Amino acid sequence: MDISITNEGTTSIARLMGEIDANTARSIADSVIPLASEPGHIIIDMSGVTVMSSSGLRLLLTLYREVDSNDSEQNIVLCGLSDSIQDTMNVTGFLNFFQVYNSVEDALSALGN
Amino acid sequence: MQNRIDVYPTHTYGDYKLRKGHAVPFGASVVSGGVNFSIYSRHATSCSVVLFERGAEDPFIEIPFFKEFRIGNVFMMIVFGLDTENIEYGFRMDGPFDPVEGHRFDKEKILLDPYASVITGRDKWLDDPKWDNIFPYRGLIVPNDFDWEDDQPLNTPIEDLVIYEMHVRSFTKDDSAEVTHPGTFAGIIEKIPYLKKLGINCVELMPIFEFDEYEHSRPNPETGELLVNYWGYSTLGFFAPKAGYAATGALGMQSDELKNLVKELHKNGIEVILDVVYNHTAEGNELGPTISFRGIDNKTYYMLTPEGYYWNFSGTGNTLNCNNPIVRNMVLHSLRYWAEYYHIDGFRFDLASILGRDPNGYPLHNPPLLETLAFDPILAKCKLIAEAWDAGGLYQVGSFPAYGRWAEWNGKYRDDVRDWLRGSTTVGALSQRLQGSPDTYPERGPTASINFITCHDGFTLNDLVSYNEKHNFANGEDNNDGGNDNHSWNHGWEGPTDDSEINALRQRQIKNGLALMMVSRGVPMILMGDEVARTKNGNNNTYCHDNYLNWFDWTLTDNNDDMLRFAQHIIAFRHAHPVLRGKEHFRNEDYMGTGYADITWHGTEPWQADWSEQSKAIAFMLDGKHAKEGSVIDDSIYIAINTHYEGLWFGIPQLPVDAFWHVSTNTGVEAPNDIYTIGTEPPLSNQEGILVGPRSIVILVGR
Repeated sequence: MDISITNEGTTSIARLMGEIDANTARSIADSVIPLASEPGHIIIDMSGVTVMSSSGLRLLLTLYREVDSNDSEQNIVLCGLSDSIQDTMNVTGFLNFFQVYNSVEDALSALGN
Repeated sequence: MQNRIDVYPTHTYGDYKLRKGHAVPFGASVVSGGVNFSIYSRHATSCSVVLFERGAEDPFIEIPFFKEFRIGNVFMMIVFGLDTENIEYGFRMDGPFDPVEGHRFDKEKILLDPYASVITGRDKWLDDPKWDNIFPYRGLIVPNDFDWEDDQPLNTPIEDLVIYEMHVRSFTKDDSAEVTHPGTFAGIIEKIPYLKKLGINCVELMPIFEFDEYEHSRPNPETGELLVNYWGYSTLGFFAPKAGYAATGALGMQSDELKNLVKELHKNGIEVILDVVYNHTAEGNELGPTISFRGIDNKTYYMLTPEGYYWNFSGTGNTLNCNNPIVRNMVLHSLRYWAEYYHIDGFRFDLASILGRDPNGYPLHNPPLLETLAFDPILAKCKLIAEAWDAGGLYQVGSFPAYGRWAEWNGKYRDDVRDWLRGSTTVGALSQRLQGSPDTYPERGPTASINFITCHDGFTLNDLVSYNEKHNFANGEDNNDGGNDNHSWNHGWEGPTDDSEINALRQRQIKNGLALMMVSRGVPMILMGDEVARTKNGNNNTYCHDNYLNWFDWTLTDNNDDMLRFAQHIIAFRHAHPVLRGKEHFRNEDYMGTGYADITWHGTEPWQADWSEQSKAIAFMLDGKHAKEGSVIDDSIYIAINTHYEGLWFGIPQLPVDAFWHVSTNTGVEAPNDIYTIGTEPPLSNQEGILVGPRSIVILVGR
């Protein structure tokens, strides 16, 4: 699992590449959770994610809860979900917590507004 | 907070570090650094945990429970460093093989954990299994956390429920359902708008515990199609939802998917009752497979004869030894687990009389299991519904050990109302059923009575009025299976006909059945598809069919839209009128001082019911100010029921000076005038009486 973090203005973009499962969830959390204490929104770019397990679903929800527990206007959104991962997240209810966009560009313009 | 001091390994076995574990919870649970495995067996002489990589044919290790890894009759150990998402587990036990003493240990078998919360092996419905799999049903270790947000069990009063009995796969499998994931929990979510519009507020799901659809499967002798274990009344594990009912079953996420379904149903005001089968297991008798219980502690889990054979009060080969203290606890743990972790609102117990038998099969006067369930603190607000009979001769409708909590499938309601529809019972019997069966439940009240005419067993409502006999040849048992006592009537022709009068009469009778259920005190339950007059072609036992005989045909919602509109209306009518939904029995007196008793009976003359054996007409009036024991004010309601083959004039009781009778429902009239939307009912032009057509029901509201 590769994680790269870039910035666009105050918005952080965390690009995940590979599998999100029990083994990789911790390192993702370690990289992304600190972003919740910085100002600015967070975009999780999932376009490189190939597999998502039960732990993966829970990792994403944990990230959401970290952001949600701040009193700020900060949002965390997802983009680039494959059809099958989006479907899995939908039927298990985990998708309900997130705004979802097709691409980083779409997410940036939505958050810019 | 400091780390606990009991989380460090103390033993080694091969590459694995171990420690004596915790006795509870039973099963496999994630603890700090490892997995705790715990299992009961009184008579095993040794036990080991068998671990496989996900999808592997053979185990990668078997770790024995060291002698010190025990307490009492429980084996327990923590195994450190496991990649829990990538393993499957089971147990291997050795012990005596001495059937007369009740022991059938087999150390060649790897055994499924009775407490497994997720089971793999049938991940996709009717997927090609490896028939030579050395361990066909395996436990997985899956997180049981879920974000319910503010979801709670709904605690809808039972008297306000309208229950819809549904089979998960049947509901959306047909192409006509047009859902993304046919035949699954996810599929049901897409049809929630339909359920809301229908107006039901509770779904009763036929068995969703993991089962093997291939069990007893065989080709249909006529068509060659595979007949399977379709309904699922044969449990592999009491803590695991069926993977094959989940769109995400192949990913092992059936638990999350089912929880999400419950959450969505609750958001839409719909309760969830599970049909649960604690009376037997999938292992059958001594000729059946050893999957779990038989190899773990046969003598504990099964009711055995003195010779060591299996008592068969379930008719399926074995009987779970429910009042044995270990088994009793397993049943309790299972129910608590579904109530707490899946937010389930209630349970319907298949062949529940078995739950009142002792280990030798004798009916108990005060069965510990039933008492335990009735008083358990976690289950205290769950609905408990008993199918109050079994296949061993016990019939306890009216006498099931209830402890003030249990409700029952009222078989008398089913039979008397069916007989009324075909003109072969008395107004006396019908009047008891309409009132919540005070003759059967004098102390327990009408909420003990689940009022149903049809369920998965037997005819659909349409077939009840279209067939005199069962037609089960498609089941491949020479039409010998299925009940013969159907109390049905074909109205002049067996099966489909072009005769428009017969067809009109059948439709009317279906509406009559629906109407009677909705105006009866007690708790109505309707069968999936009866609202669109679904047919099974006269087959009254479709337990083995994975096809159109069981699948809901969604084109019927268009083709039979008149029936659907009627069903929506009559269900909405029940919800709109609390006077229909009393919790206590009628007192037959005017305790609110309105000038009318809470219920009064009438015939073709007001105030004069004809109670004779030949009487084919009866009417009753519910005084609106006595609604809910006088705690709310409702319209008054008058219901005239004519089962004669000719129309009859019913003189109607007079209302107070400022109130008038309005027509709500008239099954004797063709759609669209068979129903009037609530609130727009036209006043009756002649307030003195009304002509009720042959075999018809008229409902008036007085305001």
